[in-house]
Amino acid sequence: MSNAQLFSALGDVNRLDLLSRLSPDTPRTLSQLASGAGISRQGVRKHVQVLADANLVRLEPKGREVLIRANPERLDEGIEMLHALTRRWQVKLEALKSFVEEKG
Amino acid sequence: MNDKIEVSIVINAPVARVFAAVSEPSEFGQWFAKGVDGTFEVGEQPVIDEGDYGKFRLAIVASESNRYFAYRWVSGGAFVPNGFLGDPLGHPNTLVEFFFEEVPEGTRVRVVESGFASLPEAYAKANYRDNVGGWGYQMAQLKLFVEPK
Repeated sequence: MSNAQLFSALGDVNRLDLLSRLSPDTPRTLSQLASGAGISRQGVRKHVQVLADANLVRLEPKGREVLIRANPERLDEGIEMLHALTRRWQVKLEALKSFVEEKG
Repeated sequence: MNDKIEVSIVINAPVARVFAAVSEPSEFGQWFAKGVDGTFEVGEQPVIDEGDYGKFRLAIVASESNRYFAYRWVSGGAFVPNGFLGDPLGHPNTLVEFFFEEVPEGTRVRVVESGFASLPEAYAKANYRDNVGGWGYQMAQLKLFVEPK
């Protein structure tokens, strides 16, 4: 599973919105997600599939419905990568500031 | 482009001074790296020495006096632990951009690094987790990073 796929899946306003309405503990059905999503049920289905392919959500068949559950561990991997890179740049910029201000 | 990070800082010095510290190899080698081999002319590929992180070849893509400086590299340090001396443009790379802006306190420097979505897993993998947050916290962080500005 590549982080490229992860970031690609996240790079969409509708999918971010769907993710923010999902939880790891309380799964929701497609119908529940579609109501209030502002996009068609078919659109929601398509976006959920992209999230599932990136392992950001887990799909659990239950009867005629599918339960959709968030998988925060996957998100953590991408976030931690960005945090590490951000921290690294913060350290670099602090070094630049010290260098310029002390040397004059 | 959603796969980017952005960091900024305000430095108590004129723009020209800060721009020189970034865009001149002899200066860059004193705060960013332990040294630089080569020049920072557009089109050149100098090598920077990051000590324990290894040596990295940059591809300088832009240098606009007191305004903007940019290079591409195979993202350093955290994900290529032994450095990278190949041609950055021949591999999945990230773009590092420095923006310089005059503010009342001196100069604001903003760094934007983008292109992480293009990196293969070998470069972009991180297996450790933050223990701090729950799902809500992570979502808030995520939105800061990836929402279109």
